[in-house]
Amino acid sequence: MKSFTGIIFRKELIDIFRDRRSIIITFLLPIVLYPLMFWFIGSQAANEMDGPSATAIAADAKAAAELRAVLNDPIFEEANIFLSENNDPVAELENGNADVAVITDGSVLRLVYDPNKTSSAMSNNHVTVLLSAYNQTAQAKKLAEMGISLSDLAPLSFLSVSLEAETGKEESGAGMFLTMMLPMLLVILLSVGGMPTAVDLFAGEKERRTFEPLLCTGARRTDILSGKLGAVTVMSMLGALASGAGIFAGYMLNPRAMTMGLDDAQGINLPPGMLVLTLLIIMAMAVFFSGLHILLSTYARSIKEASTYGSFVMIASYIPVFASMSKLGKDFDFWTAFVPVMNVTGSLKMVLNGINDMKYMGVTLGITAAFVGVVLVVGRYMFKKENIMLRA
Amino acid sequence: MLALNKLTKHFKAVKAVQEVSFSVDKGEIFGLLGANGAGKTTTLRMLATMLTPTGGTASIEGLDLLKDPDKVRSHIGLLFGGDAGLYDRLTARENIIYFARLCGKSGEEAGKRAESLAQAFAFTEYLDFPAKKLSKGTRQKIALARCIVHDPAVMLFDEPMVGLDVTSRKDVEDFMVLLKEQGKTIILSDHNLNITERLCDRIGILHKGELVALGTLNELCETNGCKDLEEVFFKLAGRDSE
Repeated sequence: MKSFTGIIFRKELIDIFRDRRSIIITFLLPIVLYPLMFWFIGSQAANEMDGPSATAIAADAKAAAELRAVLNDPIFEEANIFLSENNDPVAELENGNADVAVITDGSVLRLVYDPNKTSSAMSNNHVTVLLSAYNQTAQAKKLAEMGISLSDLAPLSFLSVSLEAETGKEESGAGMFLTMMLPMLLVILLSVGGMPTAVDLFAGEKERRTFEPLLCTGARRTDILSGKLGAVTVMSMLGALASGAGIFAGYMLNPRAMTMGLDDAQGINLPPGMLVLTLLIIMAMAVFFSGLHILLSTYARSIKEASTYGSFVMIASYIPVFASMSKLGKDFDFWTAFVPVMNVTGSLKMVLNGINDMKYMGVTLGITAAFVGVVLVVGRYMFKKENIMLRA
Repeated sequence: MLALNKLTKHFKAVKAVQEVSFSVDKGEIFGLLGANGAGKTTTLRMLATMLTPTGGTASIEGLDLLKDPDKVRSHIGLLFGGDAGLYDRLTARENIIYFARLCGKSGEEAGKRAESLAQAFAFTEYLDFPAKKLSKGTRQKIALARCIVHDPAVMLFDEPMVGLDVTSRKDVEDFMVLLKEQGKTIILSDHNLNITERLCDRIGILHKGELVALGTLNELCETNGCKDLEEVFFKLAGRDSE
């Protein structure tokens, strides 16, 4: 019997691309919003990393003089510490007019800061680091006058070296921030990307009463399911691609902003086989989430009901994503390859960290494909159940 | 030609349609009457193969509903009232071509059919307008064109005139008469008793899933001692029958 899948698929895509709201939400918003978001968040962090500064207020002339004498040292030459005097520096700190309050009570210089204010906490850290360095330099100088080296006093000398540096391998990887953020963003985008389309193509058809005439045509229900699943998957993939383009645009605008000011991205060197495997995993994940949204939308009586069910999928997908958010590529044990969604995050992090673990990624692809199979079988079953298809 | 033989549908404990039997000949309009929930739409949905009967069967153009649902669908056209059920973002032409393609027509055939149906229903100037921009009457004309795009032998109309103005209702009525003259087998389910009286050759009255009356208008009036269809309806399916 003739298959009508292609005809349905084509019509659905035409229909979707004429829906301005879907186009704006799926394509335009990510392309515009992601660069803006990364530029805003990232550039703030980058600025703080590039040129930290502190506004300190000393309680009295004594504290001010003590600190000023210290700040004259060359170590503070480019420290950007601005000092002024006020008899109630704590009140000034509370009012947000200062980042650090400097109080002296004899021998100790107390730096008071507000841990609930980022600029205050960072300023305190900035000043503390510089004062420690000043202390260490002063100590080393005094010891040198006595003919003693500071390192001679240390019970242990140590040096922290990366595995790549130690083994002489070329450093690679996308850096810590990108490794943490990109897989999480991609999986979340895939989990929601197909939802508006799935809701429109199934619950929407029920609500608009276009489903019944469609069921009376020569198309079998499996043709209808396949055609629509294809369209939802394409939209999900295109949505993720648009978001990727938005993130890339953000990177092009300000590369340091994308890495939150950390210069640890070395670039990814991906062999062709791994690239294909990665793309297959991403596609399988897109089909899986699309299928899941289709099942829920098929069961729903209305667009509103389908959207409610869809939000459960989004929340459920966040659990494995956030559970592995702080992990890097090598933190994923092999058993996690059997945990759906988390295994995709793990695979992507491995790729971003330059780890080519074919076994882990192969299992991930297999597990994701198996879930796609389950979704399709359930979908076929649901499409044959008249109490579901005509549920109103 | 269409024949129902003890067609039954139960939804768990609810007996929606109970052993309904009747037949409709070529060139005949059969009126199916009943209060809300009497089983009219369920019967039409079974004939359109959307629902599987719990018992009994039906044949359409000699094809068994249960054994050949795919072939049965190629012989039926189904039209709902209220909302025409068109794809709003597609043009009138695209709506018709889409359904023609899903009924097995080639792209070229479907295009020609859309043109000829637009001429027949006088909406050629709206062919390339998105459906959402068209009036309710024009939308219903397009829905009519869509449901006969594959030239089906049997037409099922479920309250096709709901929400239409007088002119559009007349268009639909004229169209049904034309189909009858072309020898189509037609079932019309409608709450409007005047239209049923005017258009239908025979009438069946459903009450709580059972066919409680079947015959021509005169036969129904004579058998029940009533002067018109409204009296018959209230006697058999109205509150008096509770």
